[in-house]
Amino acid sequence: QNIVVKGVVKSEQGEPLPGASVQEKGTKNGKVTDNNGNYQITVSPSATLVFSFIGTKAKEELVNGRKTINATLADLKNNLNEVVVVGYGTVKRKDVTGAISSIKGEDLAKMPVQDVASALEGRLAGVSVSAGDGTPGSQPSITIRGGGSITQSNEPLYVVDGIPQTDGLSFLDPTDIESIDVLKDASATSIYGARGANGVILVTTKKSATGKVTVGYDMYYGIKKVTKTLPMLNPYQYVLLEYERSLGDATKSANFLSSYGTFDQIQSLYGNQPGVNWQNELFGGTTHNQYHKFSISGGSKETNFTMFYSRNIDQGIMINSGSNKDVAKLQVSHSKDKLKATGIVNFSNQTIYGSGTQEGNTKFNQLQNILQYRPTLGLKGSDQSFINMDQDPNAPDGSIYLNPITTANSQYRNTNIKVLNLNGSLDYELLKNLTYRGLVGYRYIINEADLFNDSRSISALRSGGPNGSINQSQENGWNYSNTLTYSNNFNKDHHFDMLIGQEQVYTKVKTLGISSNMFPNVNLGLNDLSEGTLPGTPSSSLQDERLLSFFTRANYSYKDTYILSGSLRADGSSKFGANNKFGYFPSAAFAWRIINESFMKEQKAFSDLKLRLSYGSSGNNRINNFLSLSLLQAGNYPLNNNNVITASASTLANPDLKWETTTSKDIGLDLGLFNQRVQFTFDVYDNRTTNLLLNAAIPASSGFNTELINVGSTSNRGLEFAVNTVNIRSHGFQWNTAFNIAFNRNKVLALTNGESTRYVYSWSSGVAGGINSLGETDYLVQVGAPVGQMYGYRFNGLYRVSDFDYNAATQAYTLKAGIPYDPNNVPKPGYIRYADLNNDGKITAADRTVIGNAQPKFTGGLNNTFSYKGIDLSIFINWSVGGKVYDANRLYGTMTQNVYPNTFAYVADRWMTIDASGNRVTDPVQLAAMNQGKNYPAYNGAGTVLRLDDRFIEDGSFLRISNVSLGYTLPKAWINKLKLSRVRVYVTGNNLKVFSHYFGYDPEVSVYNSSRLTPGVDFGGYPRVRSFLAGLNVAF
Amino acid sequence: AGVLIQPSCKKTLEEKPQSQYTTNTFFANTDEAYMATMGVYEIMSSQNTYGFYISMVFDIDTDIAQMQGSDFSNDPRVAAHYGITPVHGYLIQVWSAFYKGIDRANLVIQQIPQMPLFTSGTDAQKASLKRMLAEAKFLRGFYYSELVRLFGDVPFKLTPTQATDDLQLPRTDRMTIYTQVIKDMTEAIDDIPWASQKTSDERLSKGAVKGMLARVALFAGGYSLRQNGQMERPANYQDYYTIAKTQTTDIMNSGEHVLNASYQQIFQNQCKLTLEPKECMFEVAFYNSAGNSPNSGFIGTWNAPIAVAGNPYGRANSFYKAMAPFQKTYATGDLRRDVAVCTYSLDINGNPVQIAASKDDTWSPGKWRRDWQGTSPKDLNNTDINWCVLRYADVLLMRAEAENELNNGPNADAYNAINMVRRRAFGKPLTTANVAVDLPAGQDKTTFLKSIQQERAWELCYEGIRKADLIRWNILGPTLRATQVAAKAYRSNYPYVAGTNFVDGKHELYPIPAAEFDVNHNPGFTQNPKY
Repeated sequence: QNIVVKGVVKSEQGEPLPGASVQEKGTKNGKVTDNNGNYQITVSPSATLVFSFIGTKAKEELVNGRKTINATLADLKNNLNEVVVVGYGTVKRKDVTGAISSIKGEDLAKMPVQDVASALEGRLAGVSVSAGDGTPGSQPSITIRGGGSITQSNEPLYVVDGIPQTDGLSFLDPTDIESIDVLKDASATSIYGARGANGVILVTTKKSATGKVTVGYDMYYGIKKVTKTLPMLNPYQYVLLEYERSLGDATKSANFLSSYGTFDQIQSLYGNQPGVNWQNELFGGTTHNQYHKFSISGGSKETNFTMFYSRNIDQGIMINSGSNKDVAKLQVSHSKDKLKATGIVNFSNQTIYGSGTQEGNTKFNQLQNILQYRPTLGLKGSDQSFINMDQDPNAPDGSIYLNPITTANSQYRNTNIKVLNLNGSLDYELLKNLTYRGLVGYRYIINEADLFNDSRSISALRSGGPNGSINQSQENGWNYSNTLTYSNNFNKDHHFDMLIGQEQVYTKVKTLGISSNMFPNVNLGLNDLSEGTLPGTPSSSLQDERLLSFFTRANYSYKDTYILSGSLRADGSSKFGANNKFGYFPSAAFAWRIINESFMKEQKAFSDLKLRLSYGSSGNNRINNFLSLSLLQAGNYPLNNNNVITASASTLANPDLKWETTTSKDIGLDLGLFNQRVQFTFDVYDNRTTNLLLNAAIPASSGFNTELINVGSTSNRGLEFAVNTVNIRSHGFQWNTAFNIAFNRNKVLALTNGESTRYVYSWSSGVAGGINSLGETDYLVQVGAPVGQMYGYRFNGLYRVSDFDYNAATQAYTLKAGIPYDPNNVPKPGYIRYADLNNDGKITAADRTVIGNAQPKFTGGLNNTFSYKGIDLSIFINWSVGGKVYDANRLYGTMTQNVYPNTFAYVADRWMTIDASGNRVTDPVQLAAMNQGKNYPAYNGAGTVLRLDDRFIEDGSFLRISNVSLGYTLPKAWINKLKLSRVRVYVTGNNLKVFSHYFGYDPEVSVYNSSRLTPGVDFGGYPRVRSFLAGLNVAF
Repeated sequence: AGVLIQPSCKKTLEEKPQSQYTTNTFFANTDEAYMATMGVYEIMSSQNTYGFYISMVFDIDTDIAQMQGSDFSNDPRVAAHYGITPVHGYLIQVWSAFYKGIDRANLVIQQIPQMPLFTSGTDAQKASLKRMLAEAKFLRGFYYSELVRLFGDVPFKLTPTQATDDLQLPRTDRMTIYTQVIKDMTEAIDDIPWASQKTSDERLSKGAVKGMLARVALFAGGYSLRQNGQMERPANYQDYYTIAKTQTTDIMNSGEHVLNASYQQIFQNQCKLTLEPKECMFEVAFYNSAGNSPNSGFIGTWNAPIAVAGNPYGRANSFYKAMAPFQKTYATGDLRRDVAVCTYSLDINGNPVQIAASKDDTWSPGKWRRDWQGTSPKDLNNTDINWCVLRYADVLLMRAEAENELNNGPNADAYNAINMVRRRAFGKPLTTANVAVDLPAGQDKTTFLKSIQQERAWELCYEGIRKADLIRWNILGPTLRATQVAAKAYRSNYPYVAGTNFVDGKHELYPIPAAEFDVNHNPGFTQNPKY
């Protein structure tokens, strides 16, 4: 006879669990607990009840006639039965053979960021996230285990709910993440074949939940402030520099006199003048960010849904910049009997606006404009009025010096990216052990970049009028995959499963660009380009690419102790040469769950002990289309003022072109102690990438500047160490710690045949070279050394008076014999002296050497979470140690010989060439005396060509208090009266403090790294902010 | 798994570029050959070459012109005032541009003879292809001659670059290169029509090819800075003067080219974008419908009188400056003076405003002044004005110089040639002797050469040839120093620094661009003297 069983289901912390499932084992009979955790179920007296709840370990109780059964469910945190997403399937954590790091969405949701990737920084060992700078809406790049490629993309493959994505994760709402699993070694990634070499990031978005319809509202509102501004010369120091550099030139001196007064007046006029701090004017204010999300979810066991709409408004710290993003998603799932179908529609709409800090060539780069714009108007008016002037009324040489505020306001830049993703999946149990899964994805991305320069902008002033352009790219793509999974146990001890599958991916990109110039005035601007009196040349392009693949994977385990796994993928890609269309990527792995051995049965300390070994290969096909072909591009030779279309070779053909292959070896150890309260994961790996695609620089005398070839190899070897601990768990108080640290050593093993070094330009291409930009290559790739070596001169102080013979008659200084110098920039006292490393008596390009490396020695993160009753607190810090930053902003500030530009405050302590009365000092005794101990060169002592030396290579090590978040979940008793099911309020501080010796805005910067060879350059980078926000989560 | 992959799969994966052409299937017909040939010309139509760097930076400072501003505060000043270093950005751009052009020419020269139409097409098709082949040969020769003129010995390559080629080339002796250039240009002559037989456009005419061959021959036979640090000319230099004499004589006898009766009209035509192939024999085509790059030059803004922004003819930021002392050397009645040097600037209404005598160092070349151009320009800096590389007047002066050199003094032909140029200058009938303006008879070889050197300055000033002339005559250094002395004597605060900055045995050549040494490790690839 059946009986009625009642009881309360509680959490480990003693709180009742509403919505927990209570099931009679082996039947469909089941109930769900009410708001107070109570349940009531009618079962047979001999039944077994299974209690389960999301995030806890299921518990079974034999009824045995009892009428009241209370259950306490232990937290599932890091439980070994947790499901880990792998390529085309899932496995339980205990069965994982490869190196896979995972993180839950709830940890990421605390970061107030627009892009999911930004939230990953420092969270996972071996996963490095680098936002080039602080530009709003910018997409950070992710590198896993150092990255093997040196010129091609090292961006991992992103797979969202099984669908590979081409353009990162920015289309997702960061709060919509259920979990992220990162596949790091080839045994895990080789199932993704030619796209797996950079690692794979598998994102699972939140699934629809069964139960009554829940309506949620989440929001936060925050304020932001720049973390730092750079000290510049004050008006007095600036005017003194202007005096010094105009002295001796009649025109310039006359100009100085009318601008600033006589030398004797400098102290009285400017000594106490605060002047204009342009950094404060441009990004000294307080801006805000806010986020709102409305969601509804619910449904029956068979059919359920979730939908949300969210809006994220992120104002940039620079005036007139920011990023707004809307995301809308609908997911519907239906499952019945052997079938499960899911459909997801995700639409995102992001608008990034503002002209940023980097636009313009080196000379007109907005940040340099801000730093160099003079701090005082001098005699011509008040500094307050200067702030409001569009142009400097007293610019030298007929040049235009535009007020940086005007620049920011007159350059309309707006990029809008709309991404529509439609995914459908179907799971069907064909036979008891055989499941079919079909997955279809369609995506449509439209990216529109609008640009308009109004009449005040530098572009309009230089080109004769306002001008604008609209550039659009449209991406259409689909992909589908079909897999069959067989899974079975034999004789209890043997488990075998196998997957076979096929996948095809197609992407088509169309671009369109139009422009119009010389608008009589702004008129309707971009909204009617026909008003421009001079139409630009329209442009368009179309290209497509295909990937066709077949893959298989098999796992076998014996007694749950010995696990063998192997996979193979055949990938065909349209991008590669006719001789290399298909590639094959195998892998094998073995795991030994020592914990299950009989000799471990007696001990109590270890709750898990597993050794993992893996070996495999995967490829990198992230290259542009058509690179294997010899292409002719169209040009124009205007005979008789008519366009005549020309054709000329744009690339050197290489029909043998193929993917880069990474072979990786990994040894891992998973260790659990004290019933998993302490968990260690340790991995050591050795990745070797061969057939590197090198866009080899070749002599221009060939008619080409570069050639793409498969040569060379790199290695990345490293250690990763992660610890998760539950430090305290008692009386409702819990303290958890997650710590990770990773060491990676990168090395170039080979380059082009016979080539041992390669020189690269970073922030200034050699083509721009010469004055006001870098004249020489400043990075070096060298066999046997890591990528990212900064290359330049060693600073050897200044040329001192004692280095010269002085001829009193001609007042000329002649360098003494034997002192090395640059024949193209003959030194005077107070000039920069570089070390003559090759001892040939001259300073030439051959005296350059490696002066730093951007790659950190180690990186990591530490997260502490505390909870007590309804209060939760988390503190996250991350760090990077040993990497160097190349401060090109500061290097550019050394160009002090020309009149006008302001520079950094420390230049005030330079080698002086004038005495206290403003006369040029020629007397050697006096000159030496007044410049004793000076180490910053004379105003003209840096020469006319910018050269990198080791003074500008700085330690980029930092420790960042990245995120502190304090929340309070209101007690159920209070909120139930309001018919609410959950209310949480929280405050968060983001980027609270950076401990670093770096001179510039933030040591975490890398703005000129498109070729991957020049990491760690800070030139015109957008400053970072500190933000504080308060938020609310409500569920009805 | 290999079994799985059927040929049909591979077909699916074939790449089909839709916005570019592929080389394999190109050169299928004359239209495509034409596109490729025009691609060789295209190299000249850029600010990296004749739109700016070569025409308006690399030709100064000299006795007749200099860059405005006497310091080293921007790229053009550094280059012009003899402060250039191997890292200067213009060098690698010029170098790359010419070698791109050479590779394009190499492809045309290789592919056209392999086209079935080249041997079995209609007569018209064959003639058209032969003409293109000839144009490519000429242009390859011209580009090499310009590289040699600017950089001395350079890497030398006559086949289109393949991925498998050895690209680390040493420098080849300039005389070897000149031999090939002269061969290429000579071969080109036959298949290129005279100006009267072709459409009036910027494609080469037979006269242009012959005239340029004469010019190249004079460079080959002139002085240049050798790797040993000495200025030298080849022992058989007279052979090259003979080529120049032959070619210029042919042109004069052809009746295809004549001097425009009005010196001023030549440049007004250029400013109004009107072609005049009888006088302007070889022009680089510039035109961009939107006024921006590519195919736009700074001709008429950079080397024109200052024009205030907002005036109807358009702004001119004038940096290429005429030397006032040079302007004073024109004889009274020489109509060229006020064309060549403009002593006014344009105000906001486009009206000329005379420049004060104390500021005569800001006088500019006047040949392409804004007020001779149309109103409402498309761009503040860029114009559609062609760069004229060779004028008929130059052919006449080359003839005179060659005759003087070969006959150890001027003969009647030499006098006739130079006097035609002089008579036009004073507005006199070209073929009628005129004692008032003709060069006095009886000059010896040296005096006559000096007359030619002076006449070339008056006639061809600011047309991109002066510095090259001074180098081939081996008088650049002394001329610069004398110019500086004269300028300071003219007015003590007259800005001029070239005389001080110029280093003999160094600045007669530009340095090989530094970037090239990063990628070319051939031991035979060396830097020029003293850089």
